[in-house]
Amino acid sequence: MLRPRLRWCAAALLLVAMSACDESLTPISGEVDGYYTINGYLDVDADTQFVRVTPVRFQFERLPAEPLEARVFTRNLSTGVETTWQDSLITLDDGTTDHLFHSTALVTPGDTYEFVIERPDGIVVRTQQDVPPIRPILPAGFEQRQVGNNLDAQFFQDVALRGLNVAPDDLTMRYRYINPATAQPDSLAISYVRIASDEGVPTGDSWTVPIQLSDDRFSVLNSLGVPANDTTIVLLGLSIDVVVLSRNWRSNVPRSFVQNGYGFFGARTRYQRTWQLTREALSQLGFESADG
Amino acid sequence: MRPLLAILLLLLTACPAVAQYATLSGTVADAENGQVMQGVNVVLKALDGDQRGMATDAEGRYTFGRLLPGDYALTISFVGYLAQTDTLTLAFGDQRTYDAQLQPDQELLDEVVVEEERTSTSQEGFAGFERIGLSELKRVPMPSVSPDLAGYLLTMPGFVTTGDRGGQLFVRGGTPTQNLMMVDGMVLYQPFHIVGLYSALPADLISNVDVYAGGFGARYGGRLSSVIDVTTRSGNKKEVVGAVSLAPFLGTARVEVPVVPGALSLMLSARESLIERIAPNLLGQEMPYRFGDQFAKLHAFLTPTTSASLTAIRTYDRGRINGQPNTPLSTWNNLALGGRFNYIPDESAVMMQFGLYYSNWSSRYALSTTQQRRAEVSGVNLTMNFVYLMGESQFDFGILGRTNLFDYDLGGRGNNAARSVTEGTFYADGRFQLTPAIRIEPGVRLQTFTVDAGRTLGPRLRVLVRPTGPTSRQVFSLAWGLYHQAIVGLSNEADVTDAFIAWAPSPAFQGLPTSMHLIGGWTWRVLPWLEWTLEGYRKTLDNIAFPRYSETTNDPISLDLTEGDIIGGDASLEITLLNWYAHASYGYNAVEYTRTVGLSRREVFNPAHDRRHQVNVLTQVTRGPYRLNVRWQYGSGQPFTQLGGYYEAYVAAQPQDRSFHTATGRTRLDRGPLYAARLPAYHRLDVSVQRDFDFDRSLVTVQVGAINTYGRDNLFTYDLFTNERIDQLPLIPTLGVNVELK
Repeated sequence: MLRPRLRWCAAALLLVAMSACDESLTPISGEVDGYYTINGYLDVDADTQFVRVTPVRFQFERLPAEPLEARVFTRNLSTGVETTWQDSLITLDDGTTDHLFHSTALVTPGDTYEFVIERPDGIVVRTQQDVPPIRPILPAGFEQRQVGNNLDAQFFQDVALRGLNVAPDDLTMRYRYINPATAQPDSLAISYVRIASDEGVPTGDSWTVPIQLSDDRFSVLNSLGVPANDTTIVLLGLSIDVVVLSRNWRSNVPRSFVQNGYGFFGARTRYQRTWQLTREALSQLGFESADG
Repeated sequence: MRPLLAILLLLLTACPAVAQYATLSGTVADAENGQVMQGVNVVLKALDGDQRGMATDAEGRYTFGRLLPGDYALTISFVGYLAQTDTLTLAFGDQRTYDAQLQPDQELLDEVVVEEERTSTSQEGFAGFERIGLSELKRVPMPSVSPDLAGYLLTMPGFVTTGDRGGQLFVRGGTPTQNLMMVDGMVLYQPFHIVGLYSALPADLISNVDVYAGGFGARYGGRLSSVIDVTTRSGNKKEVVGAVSLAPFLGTARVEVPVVPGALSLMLSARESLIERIAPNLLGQEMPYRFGDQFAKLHAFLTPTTSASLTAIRTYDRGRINGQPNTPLSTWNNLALGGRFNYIPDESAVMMQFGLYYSNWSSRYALSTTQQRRAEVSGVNLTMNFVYLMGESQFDFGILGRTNLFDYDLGGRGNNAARSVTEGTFYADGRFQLTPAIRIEPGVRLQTFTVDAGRTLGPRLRVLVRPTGPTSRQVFSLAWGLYHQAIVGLSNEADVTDAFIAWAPSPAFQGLPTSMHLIGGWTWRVLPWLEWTLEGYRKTLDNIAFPRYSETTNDPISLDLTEGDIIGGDASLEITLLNWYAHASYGYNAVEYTRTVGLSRREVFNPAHDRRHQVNVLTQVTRGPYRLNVRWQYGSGQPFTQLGGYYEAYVAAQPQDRSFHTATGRTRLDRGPLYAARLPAYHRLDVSVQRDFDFDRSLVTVQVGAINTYGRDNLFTYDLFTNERIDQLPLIPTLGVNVELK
């Protein structure tokens, strides 16, 4: 029998020898912070919503997707209604496959939605998003302003987007008119927020966008191929189309907080308003009114 | 700097005061080849019994000042040489020069006792210090016939490398860029070749290497961890000699020419790796590494009291660190040029040395065709060193000026335009023999930098106690010091292994990177042939920078303020008999970093070089003309950061853009806890047998051996993106021959 001290020494030596023999490396532990990557957004304007769900993998290579053993659903936190999403396998650009979930449930502006992946083993990946609400759009008065060194004053109409304190993510003006060539109604869409100076300014609780009616009229006439001094075009009305995205879309690298996962989950709301200028304003601007 | 100049002037003007005493100085050289000899014991004994002793410096010089008139006996001795003794009569005001040439004595060499060797340097016995000569280097089996410093360093406890490939050395918890390596005063930014068994210059050029694993004196600075100070030989001044060697790893050639016999020598050397070309046939696998170096030194005795030298080193390394055949080559190049002028004024007891040095290092590290980093650093050093002798004691001081210029691109956000750091330094190192048993060496290093608007004060203290005086078998020592580093090396320590380093000015956190060393040592000569050494140390690190890398690739995104705490200890046993030498050591080393993440979160981890346990066994057995060298190394596994898994990151979906439905994302890493896992242990057995054939005009040495004799698969690197593992050197049989022309 070995003495106790010798036994300890022998055990220590054996331990060192055993550890010294091990040549293997375990670079991937499999213990992850996140289990799925979520990528998609809720679109108030769409009839079908799409969100891609990609499981975290334990090898570098991208392999064809395996069935996702999980329930994927949204929960409207404002109403408590749950909607289960349907899985579909889509083929990626590199020929592999992945999971694209879809739902035909309508998205309600102003509500908060939670996107949840629930696995049978109890692991839950979730993220939530506020869908931007629809805001009142208030066209203000028609007025003439001097712009820069232009000799002729320009006509403007301010539009207040009530409740917004930042520029909308997209703003399009649409002019409806009678096309003289066809004598049929026609329209021209002019995008605003792509030009920095058109974005507008915050005013109190609103974001005010100056609609550049004179400039837009020239665009309309130009699209119709009529001279700039033509005053015979009948303007049927004008409308504004505003898109507002969820706040997490505004950073340079859009991110979401996905509990137990990664990715991006956003929301998009689109809303419109149509109106007509007064006969006097149309006349000053150089359009004809539909009622003569 | 004005106070420093005042101190310097005061010291210099004080020198004439000693002129009323006598001084004795001279140079000691090898009688066979005229090369100056460092570490020679020079003992001056007055007939009234008063005795002084010193060792010659790197230029073979010695000086005794403040000598009273009288009769003296001068004895000059060195291991393996016949001692010289002479009597001198000195009068007031004498400035006597006594140069000596020692004759080698082969019989004496064979019978040498260890004590003689051990008293050959004033630093011997200090904790953390080791002086290495060619005989020590020859004990380590190498894949080529010629020994190399790198191979020996890795047998020292507390010296850790990431592996045989990459050439990075970690000393007692410090990182490679916290080591200062100098060759004849020139700084080498990357002193090791891409195959880590080899340093930047061949061992047969080396006179001696002073290795300070910590606690170094005020003469050295600018690094936080260690100093490796290499002094090369001065070259044969009497006859043309040379050597060539050939082995699967390396081919070498060296020639020494007495340009002006007895006065001026030229030494040239070149090495070129062969393993890249031989490996496919010899090992059946690719070894995509190529390296080489060239060295030149011109050394001259100008007068009996002046000498000068010019030295140049160039090295290059090429290879695919990750082993992937389709990736570009990683490269690095060293270029160093230096000149030294040594002067001993007749009228004073001051030895002077002036030096001007230039160093450049450029590197490019290729992880893949798309991930590449590059870095370049250049430096110019101007040094003025003085040694003021005061009997048994001496006082070293000097002024240094240094400018470094940096340029690097680490990929990602780690780009940097060219920047520079200039520093001025004054140092003073005292050596006071208080009693025959106690010597203290206080020192101070004052530095001023152009970065961080910084001035630093680095106090140093070393104490040596020989309880029963100079012949004591036991030596106790203590070293303490505060060290600063204005330039830092940035590397990706988040990789499993990484060989790339970019030199850069220290990021301004809360001051310069600072380290405090405390080292204690005990050496006991149990028997004349048996020595036991025990050392313990603690190093603290403050304000060091630790790179943070992104989750996608290896792009650096920030530098985090980091503190370090290193605790360790070494135990070694050395047996030196006539035909058998053995050295066994165990080293314990624990490195803990604490880094600040964000504003206040602190993250504690053990970095990649935290090799906790290390065992080295080295033995050399001599039987007639045969020498058997065996080395076994063991290192416990180093920390690395495991991956949890991989996840996809898509380009953020744009409104109305549905391309994300089918797009392939960019793979990101879900990293596990920082450095929470450990690599497998490292161990390797190297064996070589040499036989000498002594001919009239040449000495031929033939070597057979094997590196990694039992074929251990030691991990070198692991590619997280391809899951490819690259191991360190496999079993490599070697056969080499060296021809030394007499």
